[in-house]
Amino acid sequence: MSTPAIDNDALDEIRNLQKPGRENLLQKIVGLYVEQAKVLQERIDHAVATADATELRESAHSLKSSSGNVGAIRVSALSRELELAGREGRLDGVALLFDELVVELERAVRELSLVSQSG
Amino acid sequence: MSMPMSEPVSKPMHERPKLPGILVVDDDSTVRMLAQAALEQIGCRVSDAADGETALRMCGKWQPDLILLDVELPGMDGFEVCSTLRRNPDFVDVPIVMLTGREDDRSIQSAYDSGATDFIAKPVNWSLLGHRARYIMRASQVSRGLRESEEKNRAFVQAIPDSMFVVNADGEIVSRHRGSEGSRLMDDRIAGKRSIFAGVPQSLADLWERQIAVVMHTGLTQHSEHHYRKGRRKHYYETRMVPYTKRQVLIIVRDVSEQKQADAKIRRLAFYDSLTGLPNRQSFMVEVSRAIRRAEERHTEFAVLYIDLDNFKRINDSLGHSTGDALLKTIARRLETGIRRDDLVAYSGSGKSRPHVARLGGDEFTVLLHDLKSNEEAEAVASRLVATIGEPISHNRQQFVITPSIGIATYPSDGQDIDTLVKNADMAMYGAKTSGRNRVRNFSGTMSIRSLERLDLEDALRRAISNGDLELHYQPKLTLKTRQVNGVEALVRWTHPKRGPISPAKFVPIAEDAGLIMALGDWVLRRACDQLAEWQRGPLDNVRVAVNLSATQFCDRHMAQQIIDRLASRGLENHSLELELTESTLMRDVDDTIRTMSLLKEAGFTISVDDFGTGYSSLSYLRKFPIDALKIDRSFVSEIASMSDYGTICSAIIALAHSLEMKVIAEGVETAAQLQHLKLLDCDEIQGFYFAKPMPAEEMTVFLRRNRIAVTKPDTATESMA
Repeated sequence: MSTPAIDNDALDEIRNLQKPGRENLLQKIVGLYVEQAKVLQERIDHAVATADATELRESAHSLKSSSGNVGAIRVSALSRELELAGREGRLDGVALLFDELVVELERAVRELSLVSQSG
Repeated sequence: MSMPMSEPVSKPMHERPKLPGILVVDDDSTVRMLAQAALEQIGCRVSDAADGETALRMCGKWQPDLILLDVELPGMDGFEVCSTLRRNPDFVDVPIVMLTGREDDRSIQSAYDSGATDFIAKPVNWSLLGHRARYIMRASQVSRGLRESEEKNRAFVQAIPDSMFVVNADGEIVSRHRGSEGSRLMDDRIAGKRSIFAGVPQSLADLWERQIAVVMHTGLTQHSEHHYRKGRRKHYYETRMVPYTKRQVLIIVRDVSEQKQADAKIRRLAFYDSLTGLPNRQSFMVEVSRAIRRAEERHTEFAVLYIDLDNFKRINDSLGHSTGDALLKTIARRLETGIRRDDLVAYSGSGKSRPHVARLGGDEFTVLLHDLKSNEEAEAVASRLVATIGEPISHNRQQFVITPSIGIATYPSDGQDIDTLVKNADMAMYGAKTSGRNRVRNFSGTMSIRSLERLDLEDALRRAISNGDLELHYQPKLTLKTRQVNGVEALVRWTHPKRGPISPAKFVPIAEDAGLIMALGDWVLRRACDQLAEWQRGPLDNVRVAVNLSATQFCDRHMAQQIIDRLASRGLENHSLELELTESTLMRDVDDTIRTMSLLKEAGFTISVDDFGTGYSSLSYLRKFPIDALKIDRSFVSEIASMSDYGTICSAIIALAHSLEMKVIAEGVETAAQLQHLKLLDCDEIQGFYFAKPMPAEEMTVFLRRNRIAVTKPDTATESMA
């Protein structure tokens, strides 16, 4: 069995911030994350394809940061790798990293959708 | 927040405590949302911005209590936003917390460099964020309060004119505050020195060293005072030392020169006489009480010399106060030098206190002589002062001789308290006056009652004269042959408010001694003239009044003119006034007397000599005086009927007078026998109880109306006698 894509502790932290009687914070965060992640994935894809180190660093940094918030550990870790590569201008191995990121992001989104449905 | 000096003014009650406001700056909407949720949980209002420009714009309108600022922002990054905010004075104190990557050491360093208060690593632990934010805000408030209070303290210190030094136990200066101008001198002395002791005199340094130790050990405030001379000015400083920290002492040096000068001025005004610069009465009294304490403790004696200048009032009256003041100053200096001469020999190095010279007021001075060995010692000093003061004084090309009368009272024999001592010294002075002035008298017990009485009388008499509380009585004079009233003699009467009537024989000499005789004589003259005018306006138009002139009055250069003016102003003729002089007055200065008498005679006055026979007039001189009548003294008249010698004397006087073409008037005729004798001796006029006593003006008016008045002008009277 593979490791879970999402760190449940991070989600608990978000659940703890939930105010009674208000719209579901976790659902909202997850919704926002999924949207952002889709956009960021496209920006990373494009940066990798065009070998744009700066764009790669910035977009990977953003994905790393927001993934951290929802406990998407693997996505966050891979984003970090990509961010570093962008910062250091090592673009040779980034395509493979990106492929891995796509897989992990898909897994994370799937798990997040499940937990956010259940509250 | 501490405010060292005043209570904070309370805020209006209705103002609700404001919720802390937090600005979250992050381009990640999930971060903004989670931060908002986390911070609202602790009761904060949250605003957010997705980029730096927006954040700065928001800060232009609103000052948050905390800013959460992401490092990575589109466009302007977090560091730039942070340093921009810090340049704004309003945001110097606002805590800015930067959100950085967890292992990004460089960002953390940059965050601090750009002025961030703290950092939080991403991913943020949301459940802790609230606590963290609260802690940072509180800490920032504390430090802001501290900074504000420090600023206020600095302002206070700046406003204080004192110089301040913080020193450690060894007196090493840790910090200093330069005071205002007055304390500069102090600053300058210590400026550049590392130790507080380096710039001050050794004795002060020693004191300060001990005081610093005391402050360190006990925490008690210490005081000291010192002064420096800079040029001609003395600078006074007051130093206080208070505990500062555990190992430091705060030294506050205040310039109190102005205060000292004001104090000294007040002292000078209160204790010194402005004319002579000598200590005044107040100071003298303090000194006497001090002397009493000392003498009591040491069983020593001291003397109070009470000095009064003889007839000084006359100088002020005749030459004006500026001359009087100049002379008083000279005499004050003479007193000081006269005493100081003594000082050099006897007082230096002997442990004796210096004599204290004071001016009590007017022409009265005092000297205190401490530690007397004998009463002769005080007398010797006093005698020397009499000599010194009495030397001629040149002022405005004039020469003055002013003599003092000095009374001495010694503690404890002549008094054991201030009042008694001073009173007795005064009395002794009075004794010196009455025994001829220009001399020294010691106090003696018998002096007291007599002198007190005399002082009292003198005072009362002075008041009576100035208030016009005296009275004139009149006694008629009759021509012996015709028994017609020939004139009246004005006699002054004084009724003391407590003692009743006082005889002129008693109060006239007092008036002479006290310098009141001119005033008394003048009063009599005016009153007599008024009465004369009143009588002459009525049916008694021929009445003549005789008044007595004292020697002092007679010798006054302006007397004749004054009398003439008085009569003229009332429309009276000169011949209606008779002037009576005593025998002793005549003999004072024969040439002067002749001149004055001739003047009066020419003016038409009648002149008679009172109390004749009691003095030692040279009969050969008597011839030279233009005298109209001699009045035989009552002492001869009273014995004329019983003692043959007196009859012989009276006979001789009458014969002599007639040979010189003078009338003879007998005073004090009380019996028919006396009258008979006088008749036989060919006396011209008589005066006495046998016919009429002296009586008040109203009675006299009645008396005169009843008895016809002889119409006798002086010339016709002489004719009728011849």
